[in-house]
Amino acid sequence: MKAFILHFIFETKSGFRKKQQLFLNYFFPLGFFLMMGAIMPQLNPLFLDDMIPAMLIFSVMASTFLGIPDPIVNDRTSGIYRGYRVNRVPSIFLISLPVLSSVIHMLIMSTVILILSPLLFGAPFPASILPILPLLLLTVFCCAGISVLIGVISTSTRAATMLSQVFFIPSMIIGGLMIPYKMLPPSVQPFALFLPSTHSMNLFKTFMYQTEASISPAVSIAVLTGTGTAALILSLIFFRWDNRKDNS
Amino acid sequence: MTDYIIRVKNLEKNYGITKAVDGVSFNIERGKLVSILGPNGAGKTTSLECMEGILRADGGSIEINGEPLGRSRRGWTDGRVGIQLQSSALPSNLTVDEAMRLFCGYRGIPARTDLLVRFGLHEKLKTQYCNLSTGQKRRLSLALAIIHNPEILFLDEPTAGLDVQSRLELHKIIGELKAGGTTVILATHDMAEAESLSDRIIILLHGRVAAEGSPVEITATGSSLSRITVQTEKQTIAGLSMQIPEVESFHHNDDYSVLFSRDIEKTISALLKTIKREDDRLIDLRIERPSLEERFVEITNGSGQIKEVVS
Repeated sequence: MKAFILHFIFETKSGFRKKQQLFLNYFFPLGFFLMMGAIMPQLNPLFLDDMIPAMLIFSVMASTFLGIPDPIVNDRTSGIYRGYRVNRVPSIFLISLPVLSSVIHMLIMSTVILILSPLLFGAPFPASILPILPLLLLTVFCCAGISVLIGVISTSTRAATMLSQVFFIPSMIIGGLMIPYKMLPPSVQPFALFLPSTHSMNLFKTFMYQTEASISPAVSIAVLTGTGTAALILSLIFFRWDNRKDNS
Repeated sequence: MTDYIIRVKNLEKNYGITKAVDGVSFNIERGKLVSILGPNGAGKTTSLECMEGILRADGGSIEINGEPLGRSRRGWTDGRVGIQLQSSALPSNLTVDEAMRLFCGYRGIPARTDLLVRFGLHEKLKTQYCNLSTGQKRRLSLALAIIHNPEILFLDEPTAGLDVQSRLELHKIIGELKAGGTTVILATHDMAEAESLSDRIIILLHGRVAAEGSPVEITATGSSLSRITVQTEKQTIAGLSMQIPEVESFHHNDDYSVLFSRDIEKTISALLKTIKREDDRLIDLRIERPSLEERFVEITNGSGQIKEVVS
């Protein structure tokens, strides 16, 4: 347990030490948040109502979909996992640590968004802030789980980037961040249901602002929990210590 | 009775249709340093990784401390085994101190800062891995491999790419480990390293054992000629050397006569008789056996043909 805690602390520190991680965990979401806050309310004043959940979910997606898979592929191909293996680091630790450290980074980032959104852009403060933590944890769990799986199954960083974009780009367009689920064309709505961001937005809006749910909250919770769990189980099954085919 | 800590019998490992290791057998004595040599693709790393349990053998058996290595029991899971891999790394931003605490944590032991002092890394505690020199990285890697005082230490090309000074430092450390009773299995391309450090040498070629023995045994059994350099007061040897049947060739270099002999004992005996008979006086005599490198080249024969098996 002591080793796990030490490893978790190190993994979390890496999010600050590595420039790419620091950028994806903080600077990129923050820059996007400031840009959207400055532009979107002028184009669509209703955006402010959804600004806080949309930016929270965007931060999670940037940190996980863009930030997790590449380091996993790099660590595997550069022999870091081989070194871990012979020093008896369990694979389940390597699967779970990126998820847990993402929680820490997202807690920090969420606090920044929650404070700055009303102050800088006049976004409405949530009617209830208590649900934020569990909803954030659920979103991180699902997105980080998918991201770890992408890293585990990708044989190169290029493949990892492409697979990440399969989730990231559609989530940005039809995942409820820019356009509410209800306003999507009916032909697109079924596709949006496959995206974690759709369900996260549904839950954040329902529980933080007490608005009417577009999708049953129970369904959204089940989708996020089930997807995250399935992704992590598959990650454990497909986990490889290096890129060689034979690694018993 | 010899105390073998590792027994490898008919080890086989295939990559697709390629036989990387093809029926390799050898035993490793406790407390000895054994080098595994061979050209690229000879099966050194594959054999090592099978012994470490990283790769699963397709045939044969491996016993460590008398217990068979299998799927349920692997080398690296054994607390008595330490491994330094050929191609492994640490996260670039992990500091020396963090690496030591982390891996000691996984072994369930307190941080071995004494090893960092011993390996000259105590002044680099807060230095990130990416900022260490190649030599420092290797020393850290070696320190991490022995944090739990393993009985058996696998080293895969530990000095590859190091400068002379770093190489010597690492040799000193390896020598100390051996002196402390650790059995060391070293895979290397460096003949001088193998010759100076090893108790035994195993030369692999095309996945098979091409030669095995002590460095002296390996170098002595080849067809390479030994070089004998002689200086005498009257230089009588110069004219009479070729009369010694065992001398294959001769040349004169400054005041020295240089003879290439296929039998050192008979040649020296004949030389001394000649010097006495001619009423000459011996000033200097040097004997040089063929180096391991020469013997290695001979075994692999340039084209990779196995010429002889020593056992």
